[in-house]
Amino acid sequence: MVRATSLKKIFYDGKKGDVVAVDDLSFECQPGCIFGLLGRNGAGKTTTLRMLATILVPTSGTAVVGGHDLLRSPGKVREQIGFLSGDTKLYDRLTGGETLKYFGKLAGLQGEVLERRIQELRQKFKLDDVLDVRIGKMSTGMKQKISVARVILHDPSVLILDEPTLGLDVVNARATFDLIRQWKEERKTIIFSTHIMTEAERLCDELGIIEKGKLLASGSPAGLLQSHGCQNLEDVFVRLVDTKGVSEA
Amino acid sequence: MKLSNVRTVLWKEVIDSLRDSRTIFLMIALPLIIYPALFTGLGYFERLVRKRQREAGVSVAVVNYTDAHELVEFLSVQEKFEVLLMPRLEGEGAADVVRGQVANVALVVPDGFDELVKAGTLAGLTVLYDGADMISVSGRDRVISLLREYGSEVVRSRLEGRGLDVSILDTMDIGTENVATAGEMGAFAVGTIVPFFLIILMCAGAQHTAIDVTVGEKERSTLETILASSASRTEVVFGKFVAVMLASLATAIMGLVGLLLTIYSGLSFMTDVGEGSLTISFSTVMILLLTLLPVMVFVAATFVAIGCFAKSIKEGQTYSSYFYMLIMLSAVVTIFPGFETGLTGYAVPLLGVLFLEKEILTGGFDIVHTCVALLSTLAIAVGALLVSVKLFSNEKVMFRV
Repeated sequence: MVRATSLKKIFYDGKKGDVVAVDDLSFECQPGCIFGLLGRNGAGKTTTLRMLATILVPTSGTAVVGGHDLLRSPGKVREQIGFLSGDTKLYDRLTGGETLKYFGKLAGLQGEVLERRIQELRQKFKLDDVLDVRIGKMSTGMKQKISVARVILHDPSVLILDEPTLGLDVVNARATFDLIRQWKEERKTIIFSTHIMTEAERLCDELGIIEKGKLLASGSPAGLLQSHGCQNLEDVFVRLVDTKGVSEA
Repeated sequence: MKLSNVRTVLWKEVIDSLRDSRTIFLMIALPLIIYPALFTGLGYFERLVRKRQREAGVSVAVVNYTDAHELVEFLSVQEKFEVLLMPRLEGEGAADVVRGQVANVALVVPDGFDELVKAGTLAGLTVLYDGADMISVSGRDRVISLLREYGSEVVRSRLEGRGLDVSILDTMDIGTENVATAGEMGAFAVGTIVPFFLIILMCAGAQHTAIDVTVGEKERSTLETILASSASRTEVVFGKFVAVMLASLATAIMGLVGLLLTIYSGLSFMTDVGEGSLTISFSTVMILLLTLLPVMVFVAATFVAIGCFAKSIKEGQTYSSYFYMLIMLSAVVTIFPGFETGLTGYAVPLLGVLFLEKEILTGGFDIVHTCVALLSTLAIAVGALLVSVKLFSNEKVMFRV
């Protein structure tokens, strides 16, 4: 389970001064549920997910991730999460197998347990041809397979996915969606960010529309469509962003 | 801090580095091939120049020679000494003889030189030489030495002319003897040069690896991947730091092997050392490496801190090059003989260890010097390590753009 409470992140910029990237953001996501953060580029999605993954420390507010407070027990939080982002790359000079061993060991898996888990993932993701190849020589699809395997290697209860289909072709993007649905069935808590409305509509049980760091609206895709009287999420999104933009101006 | 995580990060960094051709070049090719080749080449050219200087005679143009018959006679009989007789030259004429390389040196004789000598008065001579030409400079020294010899002859003949005993000129018979053995001479040369090159090589090995494992991760977008893993930032930075230290140590060992092979092969510019009875025992080499450990910690931690601070690999390389130059300048100090400033010198971090290495290589050992040198360097090494951990844990530094 993930519960974010008044998360706030302020960055200092030499030219602009304090920049509020995430402003008083609160939401909750239960196991077996996919919560989607929907927003434009620069809306604060990545910063929010980085805070949930303990990569960044919130300026104020906090979150409970997998039963642990990210300010009090960041190490415990990291043990519970799998973080995948379109920006998170792998080490080009390691092979697929070495990469999995590396992250598996860091997650506390050792010896036979680690080997068995790698073999499971090898069968599940058809990694036979990939484990002995260096990451630098892999295709984008092969790299994505290793990235996904890395994320679920230690069987995390919470998956934080920041634009996971960024840069993927249609086939690989669809394969990633299938996996996310599968993880949902496995009762994992999934936080998912995207700026593509159709992705959000197809995958998420709950949605949060975020703009300039603020949560403008949240609810199920169907609920949002109904409450705003729109045919699709794109219309809801544009209406919300325009309304809030006008009211703020 | 889980040591198993530090070990895991270290294992990954070592594998990653060993698969990088630039690391292999810096760690193996540079110390084992480039430096020995450089020393051998330097030695060859240095010996060649000396041989040419020894074999080549000096040509001296005696300007206004008609006024210095006896001097010309004296110079003409000298071995490997060519005398060119020239009339009186006006203005820059004599200087042009040297500039135009007609002769290595020009000796300008004043009018009536012979008469002045015979009259027993002071006679002036001017030696013109080209300061930018080594052969001309050594020719000047030879001419001055011969003129002093000729002057002594003149004094003797003046005294004899007055019926005085010339033996009163012989005040003392000076002899010199070098009490250092060939081994001691060699140890002095090695003690001067080895610490300098070891530290330069250590920096070369550490610099590339440190930049690669820190700011390289930022640039290749792998930083988030490791930061989101279960390992703490302290564990990650310690693993990286130990990997950098190992790279530094490996380069230093390779450098030591390369340098000693060059010296003992007798091909280097320190040929005399190789020919002497110099021996450096295995235990001495081990002690050298042990004394270098605090330096390695300092160098590795500082390069890691620089790498954490830098925004890009390019920026990291620039900052680390400044640090590298600073280390090189400090190391150069140890090459100059007699620079040691007693206990204060040993207390200066980094320099103290270099002085200590020199002391060990020249056969000395002082427990106070050892403690002071190692502790002072270890203190700033720990400081640098804490800074690198602090920087790696600071998101403002790690994620600044």
